[in-house]
Amino acid sequence: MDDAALARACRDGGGEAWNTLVARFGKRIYGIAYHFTLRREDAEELSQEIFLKIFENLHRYDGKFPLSAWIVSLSRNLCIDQYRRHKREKSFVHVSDEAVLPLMPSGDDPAKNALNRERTRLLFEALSELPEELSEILILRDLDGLAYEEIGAALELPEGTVKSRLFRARAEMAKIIRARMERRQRGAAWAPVVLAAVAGVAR
Amino acid sequence: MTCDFLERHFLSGTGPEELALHIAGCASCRRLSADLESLAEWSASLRTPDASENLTTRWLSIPSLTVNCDEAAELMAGEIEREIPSPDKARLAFHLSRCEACQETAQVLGVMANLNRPEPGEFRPVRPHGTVIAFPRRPKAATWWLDPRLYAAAACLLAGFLTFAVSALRITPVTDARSASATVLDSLRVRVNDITDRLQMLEQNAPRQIVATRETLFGYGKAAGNIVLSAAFRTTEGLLEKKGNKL
Repeated sequence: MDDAALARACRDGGGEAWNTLVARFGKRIYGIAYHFTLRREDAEELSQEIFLKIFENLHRYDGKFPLSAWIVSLSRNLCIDQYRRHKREKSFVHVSDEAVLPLMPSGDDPAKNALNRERTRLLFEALSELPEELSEILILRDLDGLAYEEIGAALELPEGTVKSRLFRARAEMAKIIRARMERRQRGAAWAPVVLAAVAGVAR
Repeated sequence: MTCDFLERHFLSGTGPEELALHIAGCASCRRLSADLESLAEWSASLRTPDASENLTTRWLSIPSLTVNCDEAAELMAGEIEREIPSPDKARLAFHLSRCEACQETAQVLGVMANLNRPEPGEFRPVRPHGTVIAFPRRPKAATWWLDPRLYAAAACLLAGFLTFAVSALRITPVTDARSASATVLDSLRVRVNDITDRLQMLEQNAPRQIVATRETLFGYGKAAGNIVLSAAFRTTEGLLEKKGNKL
């Protein structure tokens, strides 16, 4: 079923059509909500709100853009409001292990799991330091896997601007992560010296 | 200064050989390229989180929870007649709690629902051949200021007044600033000339008018003098006659 037909069928009250829409877009919507909030409860509330908005506004979908772009645009608007509220509440963002656990690939090697967990935390902490216009594009492209055209249609930006912002977002994020890792390595280099000094004082 | 080769490569898609050649010679691009590759690897390794079954069930039940705005309008129209079943009422109420536009509509329809219903037989004009016309009395609006005819009438009055004002003032469109200022100067010049002419006329006419006024005054004075003198003469004559008679 194509986008316009699906939207029409949902509007006309077809239960099967709505089930099809949920099956087609549910995972993507939940993923977007989770990447913006990093909290299961918030992501669930947000995704429920997104689907309510979709159902109540399907009569406004005119088929000019793909349904996925229209849905992403709706999702993004609601997610950004939540994201801003969360940032305002917490000036310093700490990403907990619990927040990144649902995103971790499954693995048997505990050392590798620990490393992946640390990297993922670093990734999201760096993401929170980016300006909003860069972080949202990075989330939609690199974490949610949306195409450039979908992102452009959802954010009402030309494709060139989407690509340019995406490159800047990635470059900035790489700089932030590198700076943090260098700071940690410097700290790790000083650790034995500090430990020895503390031991000496204790003696 | 940071090199922007990588960005240009990303945006315009230059060939991989050109990229490799540049990276070999540019330390900053080499470092950035390595960082970007690590970042891409980390991002790609992440899973998309799964929604719970409970959450999916909640999504699927949304059509039974709420309605869209078109349906809401139909249900509101039905509610005026008190015909809608209670599940639809609940869906409508849920939608109204979330949609400001439909809330406004509901409030307006609620006003309409409170209007007096016309009673039959209050006013029955009769046709010439005797058939009674059941002409219902127009119900009074509970809130007269919401009557759109009031605003339509006010708009017509305002439009008529503005049209009259514009035609009375004889406002002509100014197409050219230079010609407009020339027109103003010309009219000023005409007025000045008019005033000058009137002053000249006054100056010319003034002596004649002064002489005429003087002569008129002398005339009146002469006449008054004649009256006084003749009255005095007669009085004196009368007195002398009286004295002569006594002697």
